[in-house]
Amino acid sequence: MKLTDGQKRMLEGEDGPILAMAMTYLVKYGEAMSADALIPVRNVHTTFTIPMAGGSEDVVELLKMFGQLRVKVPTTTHVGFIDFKKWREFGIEERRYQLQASLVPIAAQAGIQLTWTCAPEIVGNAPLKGQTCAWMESAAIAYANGILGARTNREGAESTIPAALTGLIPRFGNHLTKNRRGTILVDVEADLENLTDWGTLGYFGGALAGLGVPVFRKCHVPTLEEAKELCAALATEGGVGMFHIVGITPEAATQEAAFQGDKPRSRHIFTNKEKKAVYARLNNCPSPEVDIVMLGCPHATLTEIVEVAHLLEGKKISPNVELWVCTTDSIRSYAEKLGYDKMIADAGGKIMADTCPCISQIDMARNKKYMTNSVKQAYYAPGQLRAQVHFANTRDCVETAIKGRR
Amino acid sequence: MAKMLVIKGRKVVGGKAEGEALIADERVSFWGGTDPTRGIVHEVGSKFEGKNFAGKVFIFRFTKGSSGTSAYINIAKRMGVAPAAIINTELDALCVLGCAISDIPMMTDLDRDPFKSISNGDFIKLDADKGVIEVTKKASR
Repeated sequence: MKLTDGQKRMLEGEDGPILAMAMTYLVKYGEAMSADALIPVRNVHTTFTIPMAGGSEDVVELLKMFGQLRVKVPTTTHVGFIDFKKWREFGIEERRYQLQASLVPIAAQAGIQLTWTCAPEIVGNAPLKGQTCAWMESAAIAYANGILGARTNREGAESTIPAALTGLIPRFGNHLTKNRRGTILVDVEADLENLTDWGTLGYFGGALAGLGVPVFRKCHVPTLEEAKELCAALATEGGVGMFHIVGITPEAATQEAAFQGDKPRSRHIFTNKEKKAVYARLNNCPSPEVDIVMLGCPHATLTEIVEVAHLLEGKKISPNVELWVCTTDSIRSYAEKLGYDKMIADAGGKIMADTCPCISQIDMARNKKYMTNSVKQAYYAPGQLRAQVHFANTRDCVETAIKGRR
Repeated sequence: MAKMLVIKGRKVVGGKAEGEALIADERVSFWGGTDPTRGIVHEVGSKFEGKNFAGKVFIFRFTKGSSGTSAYINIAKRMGVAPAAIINTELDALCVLGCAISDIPMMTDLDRDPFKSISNGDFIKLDADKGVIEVTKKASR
């Protein structure tokens, strides 16, 4: 990897030890990925949180050190491990709250926008086509590349924090047009009636594409919420960071454009049969009982919250069931202002902000019979929460919460 | 006489390592699929479910899913339960990032299909900088 003179000086410590350390990370990573250069990045989605598992204090020290500097580019943050306002309600211990809260003033000093969300696109971080980004969060990465046409690799904490501080990211993979070429073709014949159905398409495409670039054809324009679920599901069984929908997404005006003139390596059809198979694969709870209904993975938009509030209007959730809608605190604040939070609360549900059960791994959600409308949440809950999972669309989830069982 | 097999491959992250092989033709997500404080795969239904990768040469197809993979590899390293080395047949940037910043040797592009030529429990010695993997078959150890 070729460094400019200025980059070499930063690596050697001319701009201080913190930037030298950040550069060391980027150089090690870039060289391992055979990147040719470090290029200017314009938009970063990173993390500024304590890891759930082990070593919390030393990570806090590390983040405090990074926080002595200002970020060089606009930087938003991924979910945290706690609901900052209602942490007690969700059984978060005080120590975890204090550790996480201690980072807030540091982030502010560094100029980091603490959005605490897995869906930066719903809180206004929506980069334009061609913009060089460094994003973490697998669902957001697929959204940035596939839906928005921005350019980011599948980045992690250790590349995005250095990118925010230096304004640089290694160039390889999705930053290069040739690597954005479609690899497999999926004809969509199934009925995609809601965001959960779109998630099943993502699961199917991701499982087949692996680390490749699936191209979907013959489907209608998804809503933002449907696109969000599609993207999240693409990076569950698969590791998809880039995809196309012919005639819809920015780099796929035609099938030829999506494949950059090449032929698909393989062709597949997603019919209602394949859709049903994904529902069957993710439903693994043998009992009709439900303890927790979780909606909003990735984080719910206000549109999703309105839908849930209206489905719950005048109804009561079964006393044995918890219903949680996960989103960001900014969207929860809107919901409070507009009365939707009250509609959900009156029915016995809660809005959880800035995190989700699979991320926070709160005790309240462990070893439970868990129901969700999200492929991603259904995919990870058995491992993260030792949960047995019911997987269904939003309406079925809410009706089950009211009835108390499936 | 130990039966030894030499496989050549490409360095991703340099260094030398040795350990028992933990291998399956499988995709792995470190976040969501593992407990990085114990070095155990907890993904339900994974071919690695319940297996411990600490100190092993961990061989699988590629990392899938979450972008928390790099951080979780790093947590495993700091907790002393990281794999001794990782060999992947396809490269996901997140596994590479995790290995690169945690100084875990990593290799890819082997000249033989590892899923056919290496078994669980085989003893592996690898030198990523030289691109060489020595496999001592379990049966002959």
